[in-house]
Amino acid sequence: MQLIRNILWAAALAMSSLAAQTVSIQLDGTDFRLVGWKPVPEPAEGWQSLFRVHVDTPDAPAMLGTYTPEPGALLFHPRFPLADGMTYVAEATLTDGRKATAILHTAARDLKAETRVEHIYPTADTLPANILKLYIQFSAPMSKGEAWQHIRLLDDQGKTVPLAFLEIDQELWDAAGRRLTVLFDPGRIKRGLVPTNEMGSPVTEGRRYTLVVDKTWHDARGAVLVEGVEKKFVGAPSDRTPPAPKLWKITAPQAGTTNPLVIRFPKPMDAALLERMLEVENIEGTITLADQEREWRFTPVTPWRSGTYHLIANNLLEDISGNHLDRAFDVDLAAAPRQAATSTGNTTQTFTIH
Amino acid sequence: MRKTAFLAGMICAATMAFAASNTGMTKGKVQLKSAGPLAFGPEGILFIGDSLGSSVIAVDTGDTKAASAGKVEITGINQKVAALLGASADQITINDVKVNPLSKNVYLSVTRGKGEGAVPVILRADASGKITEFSLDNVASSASALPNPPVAKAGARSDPRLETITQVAYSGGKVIVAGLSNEEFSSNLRTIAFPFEKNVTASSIEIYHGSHGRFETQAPVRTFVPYTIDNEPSIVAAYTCTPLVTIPMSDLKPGKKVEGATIAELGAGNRPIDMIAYKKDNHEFILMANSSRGVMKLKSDHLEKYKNITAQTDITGVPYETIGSLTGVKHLTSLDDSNALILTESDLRSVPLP
Repeated sequence: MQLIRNILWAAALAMSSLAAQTVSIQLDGTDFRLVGWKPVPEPAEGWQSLFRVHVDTPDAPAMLGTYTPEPGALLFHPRFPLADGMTYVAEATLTDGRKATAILHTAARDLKAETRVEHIYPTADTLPANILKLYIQFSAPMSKGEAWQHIRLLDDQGKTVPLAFLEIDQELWDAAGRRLTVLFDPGRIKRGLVPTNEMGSPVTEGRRYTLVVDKTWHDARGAVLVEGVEKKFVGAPSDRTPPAPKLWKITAPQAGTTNPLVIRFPKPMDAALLERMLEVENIEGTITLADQEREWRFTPVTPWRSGTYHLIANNLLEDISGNHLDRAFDVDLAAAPRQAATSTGNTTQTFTIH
Repeated sequence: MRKTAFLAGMICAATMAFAASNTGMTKGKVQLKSAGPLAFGPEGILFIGDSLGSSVIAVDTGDTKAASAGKVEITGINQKVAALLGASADQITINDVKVNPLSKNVYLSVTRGKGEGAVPVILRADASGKITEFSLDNVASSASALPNPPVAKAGARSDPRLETITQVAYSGGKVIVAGLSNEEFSSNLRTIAFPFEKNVTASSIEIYHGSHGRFETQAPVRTFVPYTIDNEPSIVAAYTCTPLVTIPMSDLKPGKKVEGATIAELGAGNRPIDMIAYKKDNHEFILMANSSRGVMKLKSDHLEKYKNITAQTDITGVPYETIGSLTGVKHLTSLDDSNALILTESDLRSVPLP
């Protein structure tokens, strides 16, 4: 690909170079080389007053880069790799009046749509009115900075629910750029706040909603998605009860097997945190989620041995309404005593393998 | 003459080395993974929030020559920055803008590219409007890591957790960092003593919102401004859930649970981006840029006199007005005692403080 692009550049240079008899501009790898000049000291205004490379837009300043004078040539090395699908202009005006110009067209990106939405968590089709967040998982890295143009929550009349999400410019992506975290506006979920009183919760119990992800959202290459996605769900009552580990059903596999340990929760839990905040002490294995994040399956690398094991849950583990194990998302102080800050401790349960 | 210059150079180098050692900095290349919010500390120290690198970097800009601010007007700054970086404007994101309080040069935190190949860049605009790169290739710097909550040792397929830094500020020897996790709903505000000690980790404080004295929830800080209230160093902060609160700096102690005192409830649709504090005509004001409600001006004389809003019938908080002439503001920062600097979709310009 790189080679093909270079050939295209070289061809473009050869065609459009309007060099005078002995001065010309050549492409050398990713550098621009002014050939045939008579070496002079760097002008007070900088080398760019003699030889400048710029993008082909009106009044474009010279591109950042470094100049290296060589015998018979002046080399410009761009600070950043040349971008795809761009036109670059290299212009030289020498002190003796000779001029040269070259125009480069870089090959456009391959914009075939290949990226898809793989999952939207929670996967349940009934979600509490105080649902706190969604995760949108893509098959490839996405472009940053356009999320809020491409995600909408529609009510059962097909109207956009206004201000449903916490639209922060920074966008909450993972490091790979493949998973976006979408927070519902916390001001409309928390009780007793002006936004909640003025507008109510974005999701209302008993009403139907459609989360729309547009096909026109660009991936990291600049291509649109293969298809748009809709997730339909129904609003359920708000859930303000911390998940209770003692209500989790633990099904232990048999010793000598690598069958999964299965933990069943009474309600869906946060998909991302189930991967990070629940573990079997000192045992390596892989986690899979099932039944709309009501089930956590842990398959060990080596067969289970008879004995007692510890299932450790970090107390920051949340259900899908943001309730931690040891604290509801918003605590009603009229009904519960004021707590210390959320614990960073764990809740440990034991199970036995026979 | 040459000797004098050499001597001056030596003195300058010695001074810089002294400054660098005093601030725990070492000279070399700074490898940012991302360039997010910026803040200036003392003596031209620039703090850069690097969300992907989970750290805050302090850089000695050496840009300490005092100057007074002139009128700033760079129209089409997005196009100009794009051209400088050899890319199209749709591939450029200006993440933050701050003014060096000494030199009045403008620093821009920029991302070139939006996908996998995205590169962080720090740019500097001088009084003439000329934009250049502020190179991080050979600068005195130090870093402070932002801690990540425990990662499950067994089973986790990857670690997609990331804390997105939404604001950085320096006040009274401390760097204050607000951020939002892309997984657990946490309300950690981090403070780091500066100069950074070696391998220092930012300590976190959990911020809570006591809504009308009845409901208590974790309240991530979206943006904030250091502010002295009744001679007490404090911050005025905007939560993601909209209330505006005050928190004394002395409360920001590691591991502590802190509850801000609500001084205004700004209502639904309020999405604060940046805040600055200033004095005019013997009164104190806070100017707040807001992504959907324009720029708000709050009269902030004697904030200590505003009691914590504790009842819904008690909405008598800090009075504010919307400045109709300022629209489309994406970033707002102080330029000098009389002027602010605003960044819109396409322009960077100074405006008189209203």
